[in-house]
Amino acid sequence: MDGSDEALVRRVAGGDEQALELLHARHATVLLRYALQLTDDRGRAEEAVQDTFVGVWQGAAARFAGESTVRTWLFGICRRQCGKHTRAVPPPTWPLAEAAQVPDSAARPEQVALARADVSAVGAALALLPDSHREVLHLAFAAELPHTEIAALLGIPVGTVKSRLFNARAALARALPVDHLTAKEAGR
Amino acid sequence: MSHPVDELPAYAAGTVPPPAAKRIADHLRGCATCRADAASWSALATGIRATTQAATPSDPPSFAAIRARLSRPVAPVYAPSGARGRSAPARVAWGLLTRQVRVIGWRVWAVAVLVIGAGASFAATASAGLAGDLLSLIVPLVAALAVAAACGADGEAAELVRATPTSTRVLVLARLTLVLSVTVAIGTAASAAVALPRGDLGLAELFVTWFGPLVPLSAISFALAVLWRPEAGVTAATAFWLLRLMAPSQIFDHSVAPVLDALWRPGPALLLAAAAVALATVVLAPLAARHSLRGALS
Repeated sequence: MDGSDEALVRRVAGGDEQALELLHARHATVLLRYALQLTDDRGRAEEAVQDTFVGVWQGAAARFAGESTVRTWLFGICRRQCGKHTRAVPPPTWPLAEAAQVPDSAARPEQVALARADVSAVGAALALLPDSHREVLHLAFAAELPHTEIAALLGIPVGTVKSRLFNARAALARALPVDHLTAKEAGR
Repeated sequence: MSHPVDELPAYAAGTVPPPAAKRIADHLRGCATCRADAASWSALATGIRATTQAATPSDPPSFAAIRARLSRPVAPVYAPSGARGRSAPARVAWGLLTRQVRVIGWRVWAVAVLVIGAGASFAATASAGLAGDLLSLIVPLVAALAVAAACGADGEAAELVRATPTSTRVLVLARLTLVLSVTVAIGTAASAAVALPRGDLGLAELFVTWFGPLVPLSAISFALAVLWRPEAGVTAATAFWLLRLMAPSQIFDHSVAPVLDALWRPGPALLLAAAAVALATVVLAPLAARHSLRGALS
């Protein structure tokens, strides 16, 4: 039997509960992480993941059109369940402003700072970032979605995904605790 | 090669497809700037993964809570509401019939009951042969007129037909079924009231005397009322009835009498022909409705 995600979704649309359970086993953990990142609340995140799969069962599966991967599609449903509305995210002037800040290839302070920072410091700095930055970082590095899928999920151009990643990294580097060595190198 | 700055985040995330990843890895070997950049993305990725991992509950999300919520709607709700289950067609048909009772109107029913009831009360006191003749004159006429009144493509009922999603054919068939079953039921009740108290008249025999002419007469009336107009059905049924009434007086040519006899004592061929006429009328009903609508608009 075809065990791909798409085949599972088709079986769910046909009323196969076991297929839903398989889909859940494959994706629930990453969805829960994403929901946690979005809601910052364990209870709400678990509820959102449950709502996602119940929604898939109650008819979303029948409407799955194969425009994205099943994982991204599930992320999209989960995102809505967390109360995020895709179209409301980017203010219209942002992409241009962000694109203007895409860096050149020269080594800059954030590279140095980040490369030396320890994991816990990154985690602490991450909490200080704006939601939109944190979300795109999470999708790119924790959920490991390709940039095209992130763009589809958030309803923004791929270029905006990239510029947002770069901006997020710069903001994160600024939020890192400054150590003397880094400060000295940055000021060099 | 230009610096793959834009691709380094995806490279660090591990989401770059293999050929592109190899190209980037080759570039990194020779480019210290990009190597530093990649290292920074990689540190970022590690930090984010570790943070996410730390925030993730140790026990994986359970499916049990979801399954509990699935059991309420048994299957994916995809069927239109109200039309599920095996008995649905029967329920729809019943609903259709009961609604026609109101659409057709109480006058038709009242007239049918009164006229057949009056005929039966006469028949009850008449001799056996006369009782049969009486009912065979009254019940078919009432049925044919009621069919014309109920199934005609005129007035409010026709407006309703155009306004509902139910097909004209189904509605016309429903009305024919309803009117005929009701008049046949009234006729049967009347026959029972006439035949049962007396010994010289079989109920089945009495039934056949009026049910025979009822079939062709109703078919003619039905066809004219649906395909042309109700008055045409009423007129045709009344005309046949008058001719039948006057046949004993021999006012008309003798060739008319056999036709009427055949109508009033139909053989299997005539009954089949009547059924075929009714069927053809049902099939052609939508065309007639469209025709009358066009006439009304022009």
